[in-house]
Amino acid sequence: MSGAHRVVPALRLAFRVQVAARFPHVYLGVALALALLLRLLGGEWSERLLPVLVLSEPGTLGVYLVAAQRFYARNEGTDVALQVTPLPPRVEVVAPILVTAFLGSVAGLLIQAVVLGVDFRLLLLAPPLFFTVVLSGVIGQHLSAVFSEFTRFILGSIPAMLAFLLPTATLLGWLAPSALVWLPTQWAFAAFRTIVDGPPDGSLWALCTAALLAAAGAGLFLVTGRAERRPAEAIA
Amino acid sequence: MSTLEARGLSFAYGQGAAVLKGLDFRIGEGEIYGFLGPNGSGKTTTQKILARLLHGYGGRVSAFGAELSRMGADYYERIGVCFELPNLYERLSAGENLEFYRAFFDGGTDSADGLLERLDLPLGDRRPVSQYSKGMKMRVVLARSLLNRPRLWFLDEPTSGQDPPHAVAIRELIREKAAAGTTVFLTTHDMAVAESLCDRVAFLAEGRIAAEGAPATLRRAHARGTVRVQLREGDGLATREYSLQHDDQREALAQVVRSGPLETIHSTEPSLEDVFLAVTGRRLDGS
Repeated sequence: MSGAHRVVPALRLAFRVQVAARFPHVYLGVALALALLLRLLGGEWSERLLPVLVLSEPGTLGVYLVAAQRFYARNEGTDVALQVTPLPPRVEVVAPILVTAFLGSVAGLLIQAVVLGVDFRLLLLAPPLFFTVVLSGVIGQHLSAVFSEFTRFILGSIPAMLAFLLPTATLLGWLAPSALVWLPTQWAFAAFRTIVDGPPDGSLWALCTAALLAAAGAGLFLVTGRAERRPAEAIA
Repeated sequence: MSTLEARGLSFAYGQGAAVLKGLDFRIGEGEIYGFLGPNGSGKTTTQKILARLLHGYGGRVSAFGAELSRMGADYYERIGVCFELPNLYERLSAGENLEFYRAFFDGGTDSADGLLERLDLPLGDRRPVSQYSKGMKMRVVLARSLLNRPRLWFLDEPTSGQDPPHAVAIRELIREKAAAGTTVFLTTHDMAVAESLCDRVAFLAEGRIAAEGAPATLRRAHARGTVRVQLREGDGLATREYSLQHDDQREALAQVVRSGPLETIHSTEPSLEDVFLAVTGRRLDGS
């Protein structure tokens, strides 16, 4: 990618902006609160809710936090300010999504660590978590481009939430996996069950992870390609 | 070689009416070129096209000798853009706003602290820029536009929101950069700024350049060549006007100056605002 050497400065900027807006505080605070709730509930409830929250908390917040950052940038005009630098538009769009995915992965792992205790095998869930939040970030990015105001975005994103990440749907998917096999995130439930039951053969896992990351990359490519072809009205 | 040149530049938003209707201009190295017009005349649209924020224009535009539409990211290494509104990361400090921005350039850059100091902004200030006044924010934007030592500098109302001392300092900075070879493309509706800064100005009205030239030349071209005097007459004042182009009136003026009860004397040379009105039929405030 042309301008790839500008990815690191773009990631640093996105991370600093998210810290200044207290996104990590929100992400990790909600994760910690949910994890403590699970510990309090304990037993079967905790066992059932854990896979739901591990994926849906980072994913749901990912949609909103990526979209919020886009709305901030649009309102402050910093998106236009970046467009008159050599920073490629693709990198500008991807950086907040990747930073959010990193934070989301940490949040998901935090929930598991608090509920189940520290177990390094659970790190295997980091790639699916990362992909889930990349996917939700792509959705957030797309929706923020569709809706001109944040309140309209909140209302407009509800169907997307229902389709992708609503915890109820996720819980249903956990209890009856075959019923929601059509959901794009259904693989994540299976991945989590596999990890809980014991990790699969290493090469198979690596292949699956590579395929998932490639899919995430394709999603990013499509979204950022749209960003590069913005019509004049979107900028004026 | 000109730094920036447009031939038949036209533009319309979507399927709407044309905003720009065939602009022609050529700006040389180190020149300060003023682009003047009321709100909605197409100034900002032109600047966005020249900064490559808008695509799909008609006509030809070249910068540094190359067609603008074919230039890559390296174009941004050579230009600086100071926007009309303070588009900064409001939660970050002024220093952070500049340092993060600076990291995107490959070429030589100026230090953020040096620019902040030059524009009378506090060094080491950890406050977010949201706590700054509008004038301070605009100076941060101005500093940001200079980080990469631009050879072509776009300025949109650069003294907007500034108190008089800072406005003077900014005008001095612009002159200094132009003297060092930076080409300045200045859009404004402030005639005083244009008159004091620009080597040449273009009057933009309804998407067309209605007149172009040095401010003094434009004023002279529209001067009536008269002098207005006020004379004491009894208890009051009488106003008379004398043409400098007729011998008898020049002689009458000389007579008044020598012996008359003269109170005031003024040339009637038009201001740039008057010239704009005469050329376009509109004032800069759009009325």
